Amino acid sequence: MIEVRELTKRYGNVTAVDRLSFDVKPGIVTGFLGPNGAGKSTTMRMILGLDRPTSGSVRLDGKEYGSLAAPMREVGALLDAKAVQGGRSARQHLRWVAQASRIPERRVGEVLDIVGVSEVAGRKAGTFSLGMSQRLGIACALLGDPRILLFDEPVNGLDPEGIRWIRTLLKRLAAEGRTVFVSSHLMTEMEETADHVIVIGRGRVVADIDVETLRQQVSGAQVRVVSPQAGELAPLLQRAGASITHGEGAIVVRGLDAARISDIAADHRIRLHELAPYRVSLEAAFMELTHNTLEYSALVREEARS
Amino acid sequence: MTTATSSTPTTAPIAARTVSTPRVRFRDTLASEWTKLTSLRSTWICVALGILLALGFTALRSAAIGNTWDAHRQDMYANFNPVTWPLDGTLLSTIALVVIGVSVAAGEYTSGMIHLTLAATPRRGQVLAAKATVVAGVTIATGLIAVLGMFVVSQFIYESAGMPTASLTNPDTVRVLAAMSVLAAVFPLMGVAAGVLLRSTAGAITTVLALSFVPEILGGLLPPWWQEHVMSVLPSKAIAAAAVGHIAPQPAYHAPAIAAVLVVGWVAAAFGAAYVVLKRRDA
Repeated sequence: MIEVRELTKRYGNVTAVDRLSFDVKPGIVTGFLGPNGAGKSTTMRMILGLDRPTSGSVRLDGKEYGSLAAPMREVGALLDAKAVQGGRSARQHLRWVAQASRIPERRVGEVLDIVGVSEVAGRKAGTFSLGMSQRLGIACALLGDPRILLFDEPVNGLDPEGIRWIRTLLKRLAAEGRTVFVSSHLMTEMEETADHVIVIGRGRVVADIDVETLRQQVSGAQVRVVSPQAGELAPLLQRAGASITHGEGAIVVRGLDAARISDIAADHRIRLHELAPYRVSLEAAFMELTHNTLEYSALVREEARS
Repeated sequence: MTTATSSTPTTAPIAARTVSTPRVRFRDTLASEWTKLTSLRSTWICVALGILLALGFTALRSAAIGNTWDAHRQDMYANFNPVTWPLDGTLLSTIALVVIGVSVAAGEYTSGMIHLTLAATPRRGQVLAAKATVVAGVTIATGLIAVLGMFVVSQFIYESAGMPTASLTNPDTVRVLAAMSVLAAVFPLMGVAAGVLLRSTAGAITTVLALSFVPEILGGLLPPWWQEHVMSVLPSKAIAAAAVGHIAPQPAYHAPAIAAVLVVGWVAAAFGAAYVVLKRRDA
């Protein structure tokens, strides 16, 4: 469990993080979303005691980071996969982290196996591709077998295979009862992984909501219709209770399902070339959230509470 | 490469078998810093360079003196001291050893690895102390090898040139060699502090080398008052005074005991500043 309370970070006149408050619960994957520059990395660094908050507090399973007896045995983090000294082998890199955290050295071999880089463990970390560096960074986070895990943009630069691997891993870590907090600037990355999302924009919480709830909120069914007689069809559908948006060569219908649209068209001998129901993506919802930061904040919080 | 990373890892258990959470001790931080230092090839290159530069310089210089000894023995080398003369080679080894000290601190900032270091050990003073300890260990050991090597090589050359030589059975000689070995750590330690303060490898190396060399280059040109009151306080002169002041005093040398206090003071001041900054600054 991570408890963030009124967390604020100011650099001179610039407020990077503005009174953030949220909980990250164990047993689920929590996505930390926001556009680049929203304050995600700053927040993560404050959680890890690296940056000092201007005000506010963070508690990790009830304790402050600085008071943990062996921090990496309780909290594991991947901040920047490329932030390793390149001249050292992957194994040596993990060795020093293990020693610093009083973790037995055999654990190094275990985490190398878990992330699948054992075969190249003797190679210099500086020669690693971004994907391998991410795996090494994840190995480092898992080293202490911690109850709490933070990953800053872990799928950045990964190939589809790597992305799928990370998704599986994150879900598995959460299923083991750990607290898993993962940042990303892309909702699509979180859509299939996160159970809960905390969205921030300009340093503030914009949404703190279950992914399922968010999905239901945003995805009133829509149907894309292409017809050579769209001009005739649109008023008919509107009369039946639909709202219509005109897109490129197509109309988008809200409030009627595909079967009903097809029936209405057939009744009036209107030809349809395409009839495609679809759901609004969470990505679109996310964009909307982060654009109108303040209004949404109030709205979503109310709904989340009810 | 693909085969190495794409293997499905999901069969291995994620949980470690150990569950207990013992508190991290200073010796854990120390072991970790030792692993960091010794697992980089650049450390060993600097150690080797530190020794070879010192030996090479001393061998050449000793040979040059030996060749001209008969012509100049009366005037130019009236002050010749077979113990202290070979030790100028340490000037060169200082360069290589300062690079080690600076890299230990600034190298983590340039790579960004400092985040991981301070996340693993939030007690930043403990990290700084561990870095200082490993740097002192490596540079003193290197200093000892270099100093003994310079002594042996130079005495051999002096003897074959018919010059005065020194013996390791003389307590004064032993004291000089021991002091020079220990003091080899001073500028590298200041390099650690400068690396933390400046977070830049190039900046820290330049600063420390300037502090060590500029007084040596300019110092002799300054009037006596400056020698006695300004130069004598600077670390390079204080180091020399602490090591050889008792057998080869100079106007710019304080008494060895005072000089030793000055040296400790310089190192303490550098680390005091580094500690305060490291503690307060965002990593």
